[in-house]
Amino acid sequence: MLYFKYLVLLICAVSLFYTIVRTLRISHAIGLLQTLSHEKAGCCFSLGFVGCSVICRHIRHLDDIKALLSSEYDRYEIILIMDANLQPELFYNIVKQFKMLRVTPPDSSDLAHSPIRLLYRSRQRCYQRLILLDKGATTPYDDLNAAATIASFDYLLPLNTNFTLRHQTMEHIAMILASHNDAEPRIDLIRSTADNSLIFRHIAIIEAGGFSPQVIRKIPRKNILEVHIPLLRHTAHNRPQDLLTLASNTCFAILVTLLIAGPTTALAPTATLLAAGCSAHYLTELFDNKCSLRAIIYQISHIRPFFYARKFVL
Amino acid sequence: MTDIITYIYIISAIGIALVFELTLLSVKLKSRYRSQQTLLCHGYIRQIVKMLFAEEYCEIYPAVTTTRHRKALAEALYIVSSHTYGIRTAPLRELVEKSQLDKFLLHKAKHGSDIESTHSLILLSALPPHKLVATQLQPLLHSRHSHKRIAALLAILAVSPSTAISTLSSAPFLLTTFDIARIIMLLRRGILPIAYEPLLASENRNLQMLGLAIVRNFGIEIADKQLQRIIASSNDCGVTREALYTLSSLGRPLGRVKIRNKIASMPHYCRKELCRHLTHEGYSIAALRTIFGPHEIPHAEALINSYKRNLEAV
Repeated sequence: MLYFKYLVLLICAVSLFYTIVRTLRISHAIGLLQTLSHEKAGCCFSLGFVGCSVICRHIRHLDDIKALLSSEYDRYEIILIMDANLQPELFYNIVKQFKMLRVTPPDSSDLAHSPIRLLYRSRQRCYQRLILLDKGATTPYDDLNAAATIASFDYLLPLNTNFTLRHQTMEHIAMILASHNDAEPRIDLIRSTADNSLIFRHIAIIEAGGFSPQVIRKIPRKNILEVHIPLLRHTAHNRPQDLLTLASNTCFAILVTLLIAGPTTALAPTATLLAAGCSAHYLTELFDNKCSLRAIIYQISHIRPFFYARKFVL
Repeated sequence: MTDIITYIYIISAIGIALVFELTLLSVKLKSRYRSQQTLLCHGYIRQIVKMLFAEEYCEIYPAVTTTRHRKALAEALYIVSSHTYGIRTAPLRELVEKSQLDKFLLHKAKHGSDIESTHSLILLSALPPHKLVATQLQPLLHSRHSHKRIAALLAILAVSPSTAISTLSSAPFLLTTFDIARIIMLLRRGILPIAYEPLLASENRNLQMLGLAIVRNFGIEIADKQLQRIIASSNDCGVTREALYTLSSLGRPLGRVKIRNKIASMPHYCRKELCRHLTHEGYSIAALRTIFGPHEIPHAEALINSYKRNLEAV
């Protein structure tokens, strides 16, 4: 019993400590970003050869694509992956709206993936960074491998369902990448502690044999760069299964503690959750200047003490 | 004993939650203060622009008497100087002297927190050349905070542009691409001279990297020979890579023996990334065949073909 009480206290204390450290790091990073905001706007044009390809699956509306293309940073592209057989109307609308040109899909690749049926590149001046790829729906990793085959830039940002880029994300990524010297270890993976977004180096993906759930494990720790600024915005906070999972896990943990160690010890995880909630409230307001209960719960789900998932889940 | 520890923990956790909420409150109050500052700053910008049109100094309102006014004026001057070039700085210099803005910013740069200090130095670098001696800023070049020392370097360059080369060459750290992009911003504002030749001829890495950035940003095609010399002779991987990318951005041929040998000696992943970059830059497959081995070509060829219109679709 006594050991269990100590164990509960230890877990709570570590979680609380990590929450504090994470909050401080993120708020410091945002403060620095605000300081450099004028500089960043002026010098992004001169950053040189830093580029990123955003890979996007599950497109539902044309407006989502326009939002993705709104960045003024020039060295990036959006690769859309769709199955034209499943969404023929949307596929046709994208081709028409963005005046896309059908081009020859690559017949050889460094990565194994199912064949690309059709490939389109946008030709309108303002939409020249858009690529549309039609392939049969298989696994998400296969989709990403196909997109990586035609990606032009050295970094790949896979966008998961219900995520979109934040304002000036591309500029921030370029700034992060351009702030590192060649003398330092090669950056193969950038991970944001603020929203758990991942940016892979193209060559690291090729060396790892393509996207897979184990791809992060294949990247050496010294080549992983942690940043503390949010890069992606969650577009649908109302995923009931996420909220339900978090609520049920928390209630279960508190209930178990209550039954085994009594009400006093059960207050410790409750107080920790309160502190994590306040931290999430603070960070959500800092990111977006607006806050909702769902956004706070979403933010709490990103607090992962000690280690991050070594599995790349889509 | 366990209960006492638990109670202490619970009180601490609730205290931390309270601190987060209070910090959030202070952030909200600060943002209200900031919006008032922005209004004040906009008022100053209008008056500064009028002053620049009239080409003579005139009093500004509200008079610069408090810290709040000085901050707003420094922001206003920064915004004006970031968006203009070739202006007559005499009225602005008088404004800076009368409001003692330089002393104020220098004091904040020396005694503020890292972020505050960086911000003050960035603002300082945008002021018209003032009487401050660069030696006062020299100690800040040795700061542990990388953004602070770069901001100090920019401020020194802005104060004494005539000694730019010696300042850059004696900088006690390596400049990153982002740092160089910020120096290019000074160049675009006309503060520094665009003399790329001595920079490229130098053996100093910082100077060489700045020279390459100037060549790329201003599309100086006549620098072709110097770039080839750097590629052939430099032992620094970063400089060689930057020179290769710069040469390719000018669209110059890369098939000369010395360049080919240098590319062959590069690490495998660098060659792969260069190959993809050249494909994106519009180099033909024939040009790539002269540079890369037969096993490296198939993917590049497929990628180049993916930029071509599919005639079967017409």
